[in-house]
Amino acid sequence: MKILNKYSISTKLKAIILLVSCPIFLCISIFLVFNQYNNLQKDLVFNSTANSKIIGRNCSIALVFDDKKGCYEELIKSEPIQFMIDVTVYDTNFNQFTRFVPKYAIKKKVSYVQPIFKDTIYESGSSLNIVEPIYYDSTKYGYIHFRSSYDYLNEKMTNYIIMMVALLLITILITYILAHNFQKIISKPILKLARLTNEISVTGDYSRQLQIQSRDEIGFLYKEFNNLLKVINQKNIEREHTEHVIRKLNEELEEKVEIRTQELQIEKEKTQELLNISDQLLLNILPEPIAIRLKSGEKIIADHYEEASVVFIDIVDFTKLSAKSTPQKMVNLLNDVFSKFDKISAKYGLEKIKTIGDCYMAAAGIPLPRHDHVCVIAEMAIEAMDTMKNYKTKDGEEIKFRIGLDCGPIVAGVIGEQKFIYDLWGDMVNTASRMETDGVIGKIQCTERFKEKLEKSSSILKIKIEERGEVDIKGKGIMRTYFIHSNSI
Amino acid sequence: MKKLFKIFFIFLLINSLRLISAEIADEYDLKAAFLERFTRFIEWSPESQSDDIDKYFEIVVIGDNPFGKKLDILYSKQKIKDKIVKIRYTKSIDEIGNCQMLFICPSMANNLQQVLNKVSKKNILTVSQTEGFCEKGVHINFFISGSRLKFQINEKAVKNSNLKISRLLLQNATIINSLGGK
Repeated sequence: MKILNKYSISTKLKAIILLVSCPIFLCISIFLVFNQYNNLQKDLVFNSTANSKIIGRNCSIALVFDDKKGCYEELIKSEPIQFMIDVTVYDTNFNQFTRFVPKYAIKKKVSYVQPIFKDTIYESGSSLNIVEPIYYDSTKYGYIHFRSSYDYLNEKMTNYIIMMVALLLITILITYILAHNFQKIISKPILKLARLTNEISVTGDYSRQLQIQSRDEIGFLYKEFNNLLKVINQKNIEREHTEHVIRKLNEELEEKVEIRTQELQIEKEKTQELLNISDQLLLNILPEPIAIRLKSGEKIIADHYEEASVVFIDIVDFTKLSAKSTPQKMVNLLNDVFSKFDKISAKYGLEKIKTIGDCYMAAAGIPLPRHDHVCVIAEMAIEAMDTMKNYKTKDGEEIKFRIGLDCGPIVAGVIGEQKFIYDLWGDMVNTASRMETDGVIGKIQCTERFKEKLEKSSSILKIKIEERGEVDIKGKGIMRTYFIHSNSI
Repeated sequence: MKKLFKIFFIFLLINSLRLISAEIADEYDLKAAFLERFTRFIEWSPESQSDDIDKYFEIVVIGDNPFGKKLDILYSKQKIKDKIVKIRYTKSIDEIGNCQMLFICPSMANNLQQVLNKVSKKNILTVSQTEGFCEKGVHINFFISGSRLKFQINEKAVKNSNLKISRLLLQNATIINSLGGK
């Protein structure tokens, strides 16, 4: 039956009806044919027996009166019997009394064999033989041998079979037509249902309904389908209403969200601006890597550096200048001077540490270590000194500078929880500061170790080193110091 | 030559007479035999039978006997309906008595009606061999058709008697439907 799965319901129903009915019709036909054959055979036997009895009885008088001619005349009367081959009458001594062969049987030239008197009915070749004793009033007068041809029976059977085959074909044809029409009773409503389902799936119109035309299972199916559509439609209406409400609420919400988003955006922008300012401020106060580390949550930063350089630049006699001028002018002066130093520091990648009054402090090799820290700080110091050469205040007062340099190990970092400042600690810082304070106006003084480092660097070609000699440095004792200046001087 | 012709003529005449006599002999042999065969298809009612009915079957031949001794010879050995057959010859109507079969000879042509009147109320089968007898009321009458011995039956006369005759016999006979002298 799985073969039928790929076919339509219409085809399946037709196939089932035909597969059920055709074998039944065929069996019925075969049964009828066999039954007919048996009936015809029985009829042939019965008719032959009856005829032989009647003829025999009619011949009994002729036998009694030994009237062969009369007997023959009696036998002639049997000529209309269609299936008869011949009829022969025997006396009680089994001597042939008389024999009659119909004209049509003469043409067939059927040979005659004396009958077996023991069997009353037997077949011989294509003929049925009936041997009946002729009695009258309990007295036997002879025998009648009646032969019937099966040809007649076979001819009748052939006609019957042809008729049955024709009838079978007509029945199958009618069955097919009826199956074709009957299957519509089931397939048509199903197809109608399928079409409507398809239309609904395309259009989404659940308000459609099927017209119930019968009260059978199909009608029940339609009714339930209509109920389902009603429920779906009702749900759809409710859903659409809910969607509408939600949409409306959503729109309102979106509007609110939009407003809120705009507000937040503004807030964010403001916050971002503040953050930027904060970051900028932080970056102004602290080196970028240190600022990032602090932002990430690091509380105490105290990094040890094996090698770094520090520069101190100081305005000579700033106290005297301050006494001559207003504080505002002093502040403006310092701002102008330090801004220039900031630019030069930035140019050479130095990290400005802080200003202490009139002193400007910067370092190289921190917070990111670099191998040329001596070179860049020396070049910065030379450029700062060159830049500020002949620098005058707005009042016309000439400003002079002293610069001190040193290099060596230091600790750099941020300590405390408020008012962060990136600062340096170590002996080298003090030494550098002493190089400035114990220096010469307009000169850049450095330690011997700084000089040695500088001599090994590539910048030595651009820088000229001049030994100052041994100097008593406060807190340090006698130190051999050196002046550096541009090689072009 | 004439002598030879006379001898040949006499020889032919003698042989012809022989043949005729033989034919006549065969005809009466058949008729004698037929009398018994008729009885196979006829039933006599038990009424109006003589006391001897259980013992004998009586055939009376009235008139000039044409059978000679044939009937006696034949029925001395053969029974009819399992009964001994008595053959009686008479020329007197009054001597017919209570027999079962009456053979009316051609010589009784002038007295036929009287004979028939005599047996009309009796249970007697009448047989004859004379043309016209059957039409007058005799039950069965022999006649020659071609070379065949046939018989005719007066069906109405049989029906009026107390005899029952088989349809088979009627089918093989020539049926006469007159009531005869009535």
